[in-house]
Amino acid sequence: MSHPSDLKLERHLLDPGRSPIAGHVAECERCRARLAQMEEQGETFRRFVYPATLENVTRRRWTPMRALWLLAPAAGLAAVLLIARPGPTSDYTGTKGGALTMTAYAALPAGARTLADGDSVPASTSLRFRVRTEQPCSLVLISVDAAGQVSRLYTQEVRGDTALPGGVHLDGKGGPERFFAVCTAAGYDAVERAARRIGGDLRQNHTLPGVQGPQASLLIEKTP
Amino acid sequence: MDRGHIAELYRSWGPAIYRRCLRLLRDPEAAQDATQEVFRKALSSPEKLADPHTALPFIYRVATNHCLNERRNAGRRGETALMDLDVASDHPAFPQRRLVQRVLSRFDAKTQSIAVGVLVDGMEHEEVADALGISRKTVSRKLARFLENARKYLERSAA
Repeated sequence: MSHPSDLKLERHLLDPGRSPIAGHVAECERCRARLAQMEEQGETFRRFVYPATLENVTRRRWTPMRALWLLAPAAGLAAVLLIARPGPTSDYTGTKGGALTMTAYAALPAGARTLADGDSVPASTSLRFRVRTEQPCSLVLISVDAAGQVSRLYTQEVRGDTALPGGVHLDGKGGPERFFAVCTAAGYDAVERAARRIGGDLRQNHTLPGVQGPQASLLIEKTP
Repeated sequence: MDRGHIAELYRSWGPAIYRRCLRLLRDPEAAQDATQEVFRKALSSPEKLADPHTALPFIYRVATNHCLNERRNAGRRGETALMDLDVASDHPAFPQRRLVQRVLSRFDAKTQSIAVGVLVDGMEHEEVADALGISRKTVSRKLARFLENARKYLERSAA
């Protein structure tokens, strides 16, 4: 049995009602499974890729933003690294010497700027992140906003000084947003559950309770 | 084109670009980066993105070319994690289950696109021709050459 290609399935997704392969899809479990996977990937794009990359794709090509980002690491060296947890706390179980630091850079009209905890930035600013860890780390980087909305930004293996790929585009809404970076073997779901527990109380909560492993966090005040 | 219109086009066609890049690069981070690049390239022909009939094959073509190029570059950097692609269906002249990058890299960009279209995506020759904007005869000729040379290369490698 031959199956429609991905290109035909893409056409089907655009207009299932008039799709010439609708009959096949209705009878074919494999194609329905592939379509479900494609829809899930599309949802991933809309929820995470689109907001993180919109600024890049809509920026005029001549805008020297790339150059600004190239300057960002140098600016970071001169600035204070954000170390949200200078020492182990009661829920810290990471390896000694394996602390995590996180630095955030904002792309502002005046140039790339390293952010300190509590800094204010325009609510539609693009951010990039750099993390540093001495031990190999299963990094989860999420954000929580004033409404308690949790956004998954990065889940990846890192070691040493790592500039995280792409960027994060703030949602345009005013109010506080805290970014949490965690090195944990517990996985994303455990981190997300902990983030939901703190709700919108972001200015006081510097760490995610109950999540084992080094953490760092950064509070940003988004100005509309 | 204003930012709002670009954002709207990106929201419409980004999912298809992302899926194509994910399929070829097999890595969400690489696919995210590639999606931006592909869309920016596609924006150079806004009239094609504006027409739903032409947009899909157009972005398929741009995304395929870009991602195959990324794969070649990754191979040059020694990054092998992205490399091999699953063959979609049994092909009498290509019994392997995987299309390995070291075979793919031996051919020109157009031949790679054709081989991936037929062997990985499972497309008919006519569909590949339409998607890549070339004749069906070119598809058949280049695919036959690919299959013959790939077979010889794999036999030599096995010997």
